[in-house]
Amino acid sequence: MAHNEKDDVPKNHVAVVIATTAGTWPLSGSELVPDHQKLEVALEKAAKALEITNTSGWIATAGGRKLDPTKSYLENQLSNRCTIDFGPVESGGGARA
Amino acid sequence: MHSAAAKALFLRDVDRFPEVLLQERRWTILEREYPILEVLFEADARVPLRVRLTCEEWNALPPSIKLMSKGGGALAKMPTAPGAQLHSVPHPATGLPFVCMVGTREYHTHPVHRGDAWDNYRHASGYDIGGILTRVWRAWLTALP
Repeated sequence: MAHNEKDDVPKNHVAVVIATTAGTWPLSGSELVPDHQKLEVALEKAAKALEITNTSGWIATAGGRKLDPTKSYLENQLSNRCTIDFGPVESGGGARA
Repeated sequence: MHSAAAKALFLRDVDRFPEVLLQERRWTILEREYPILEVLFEADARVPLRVRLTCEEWNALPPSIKLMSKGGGALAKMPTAPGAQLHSVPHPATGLPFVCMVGTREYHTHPVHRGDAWDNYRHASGYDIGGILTRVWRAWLTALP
């Protein structure tokens, strides 16, 4: 459910924005979701909306803290309004000259 | 690749970075004009890093990446990432420290990695310009400050 930024966040809900370098989900404002819902639900919706076909190996963070997508907002200690940064991890390197 | 197509693809990639993400990551866009994207990374208790991506012929070629000080000069000291993505040993072609990571031109042209072609990645998720920049940023975050 889309959420107006000026409104209070209802009890037992979180107003969430998923932010990637390909854009945000939702496109504007935030999405109201139950606080007991697993993060992966919103991450999957964001990937689909932003046409990101494969997010295996991607990580979600908030305020620099790594989140567990298989757990709820409550379990990830997220409440009220939150922006989740979603993107790939550093890939391997290691060339030796 | 036709330069107009490369420019259009470049602009598609770099114009969609949302402001909320730039704030969350503390990225400052210093230049965003084809074929250059220059971004400053900042974080608490870390020496800022200025990253210059040169993206001509995007995405037939991966971006060439140069790491600089906040002011645009040479780095006094290369950050040391546990995964060895940030290399203080000079690249054989450029003679400069480099980012040794899939998705960078310096990686795919390095003698050790020439068999790992960019074509294997260029259409994969997370290997657009924002995805490559994200990977460099995360390597920097894991590095010693």
